[in-house]
Amino acid sequence: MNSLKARLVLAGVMILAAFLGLTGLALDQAFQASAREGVRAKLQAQVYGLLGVLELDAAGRVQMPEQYPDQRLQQPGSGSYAQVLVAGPGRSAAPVWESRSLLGRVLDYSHVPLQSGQVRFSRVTTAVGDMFELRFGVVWEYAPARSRELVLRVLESDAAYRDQLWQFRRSLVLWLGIAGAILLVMQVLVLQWGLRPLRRIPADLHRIHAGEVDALGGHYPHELRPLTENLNAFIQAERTRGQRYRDAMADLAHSLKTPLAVIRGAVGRSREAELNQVIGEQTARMQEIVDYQLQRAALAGRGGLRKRVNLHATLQRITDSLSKVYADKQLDFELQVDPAQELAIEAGDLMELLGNLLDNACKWAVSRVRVSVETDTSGHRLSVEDDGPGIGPADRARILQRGVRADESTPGHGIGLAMVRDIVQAYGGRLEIDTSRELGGARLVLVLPA
Amino acid sequence: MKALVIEDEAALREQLAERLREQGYAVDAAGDGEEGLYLAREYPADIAIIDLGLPGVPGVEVIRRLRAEGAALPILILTARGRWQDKVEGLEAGADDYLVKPFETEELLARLRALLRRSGGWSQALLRCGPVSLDPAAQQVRVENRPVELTAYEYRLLHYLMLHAGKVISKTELTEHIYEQDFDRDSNTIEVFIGRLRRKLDPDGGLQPIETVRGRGYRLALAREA
Repeated sequence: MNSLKARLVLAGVMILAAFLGLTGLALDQAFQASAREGVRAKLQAQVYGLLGVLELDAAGRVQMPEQYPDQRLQQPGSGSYAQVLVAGPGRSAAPVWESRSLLGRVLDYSHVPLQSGQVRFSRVTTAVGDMFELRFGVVWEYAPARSRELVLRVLESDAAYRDQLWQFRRSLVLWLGIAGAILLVMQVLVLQWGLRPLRRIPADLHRIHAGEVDALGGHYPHELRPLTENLNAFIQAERTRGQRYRDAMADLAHSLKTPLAVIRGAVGRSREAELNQVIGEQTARMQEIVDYQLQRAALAGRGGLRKRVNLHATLQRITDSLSKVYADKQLDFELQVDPAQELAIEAGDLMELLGNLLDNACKWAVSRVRVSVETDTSGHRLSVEDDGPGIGPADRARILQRGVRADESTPGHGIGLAMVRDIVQAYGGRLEIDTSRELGGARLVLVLPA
Repeated sequence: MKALVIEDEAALREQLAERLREQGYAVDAAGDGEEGLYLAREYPADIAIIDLGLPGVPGVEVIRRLRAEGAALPILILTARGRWQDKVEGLEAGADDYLVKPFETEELLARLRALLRRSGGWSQALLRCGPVSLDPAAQQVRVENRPVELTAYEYRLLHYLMLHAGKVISKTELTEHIYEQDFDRDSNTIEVFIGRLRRKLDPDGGLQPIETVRGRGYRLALAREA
């Protein structure tokens, strides 16, 4: 069952079948009950009619006029029969009168004593067919202190009832079938309509792939919005990443041209010692360029779905590591960060940001490095301060330029901070450089939007 | 001083070993993690240089196992990728410092000297015990400012004794730390080297820099100056 539509249709059909089946059953039961009630009321009326004309003479014999009310009781084999029985002692009773319709037929009878006025209605199988039977008990006082216990028994063939029921069932099935078919068609149409936005996604994705549009349009129902928005974010991130790769390739090629030109210019025109120096300097520069561009290319950046990373835990790992590397300095790290603070940055990028910032601070610090973070609705300001010589205003601008070193004698300084700047920009933030008010050295601030 | 180099790139391994030998180190070199672990267990070194990107047992795992087995030697890791993730993992596994490839050999040597100095409890780059001073960067030994010419083995021996000045060092330990793995060892040669060192450092016998502790080994008997 690998299709949403097939699942929904199958479930719908099953629910519909169960629903229609139960409806049919209930209607059938209700119809049967009311039809029986109709038969019973008719038989009851017949009994009252017979009671109206029945007489007992002074000897207690049952007298019935030649003409009694119901025409069908007069007509032999009409399917409507009546008997009057006199209850004897114990469980016996003998018929004392039978309707003319019963002529030549014998009805079996098993006696059940009835109170005066008591009615017993049931469906019985007799020698003349399946019948509805109504018995009515009556105690008839024909002389002072003399009475007879009588049972009036009327029967009606169930042929009419069965005919009626069959008719009813036939039209019931017909109409339920029509209703079911209409509902089914409507359900399929509703599904078709309801699932249409889902079918639009692959079509839209195809159009994005073909370059006709940039993103999935905004007309999706709100249940699908999280999906389409995440897809859009993902597409955007991939596009940015692709652009970054292309930029990195172009940057790499361009920035390697200068040192290459310097080396080529020196070939054949310089003395060996000079040439050695030129090659040494320029290959070092090329190496720096390659390192920088490689790290830039590995940057994950904003977009896509990010797991949140615990800031304090990451800081702890890096400061533990740097404590080893800068063991001689016996640095004192102050982490003014809430242990529960989390940031929505890819873990490798955060490690890269903090590693470069803290490494830089450790390099320049005399003994203290402080990390603090301020968070408000606009985002986070993560500051790394040290008690070193600080960075002069002229150098700040140079550091914030691509790959330029502020201090040629400290390897990797410029690259690390240029990386930090690039990563933070990839997350829509920026790097600020100023002076630490309390520690006196440099203060580098990562400004990250929320 | 013995250095263990675990690096899979043969050219870099040879180059490193050569530069380290020039600097007075005895060098054991391995091309993969398994061999490196074997060498580290069988032939204790004073310092290890381990590449993180090794085939088979990765560098981080080598460091982790060495530390788990109680090896306390300083370890410097080499990593081709400059990612902090790699550096932090290496340092967390038990390394003491890192270098990103490619690196200047001078930078590596300076880091090694600093690690060795720290592991011997020295805070200054120049080791000074009484009138004897040893400069690991220049490989120069002086007594009262008078330069002393030493052979490579004599220098290694003195460097080791001075780094651990005040401690008694057995002949076996000295053998392990000045010879490379496949060298035909003979502990009698240690006695010969000690004799020569004594004569060169103390020609007139007034200083007595190296003390023989009967049945246990030797001890540099001069007080540390820094």
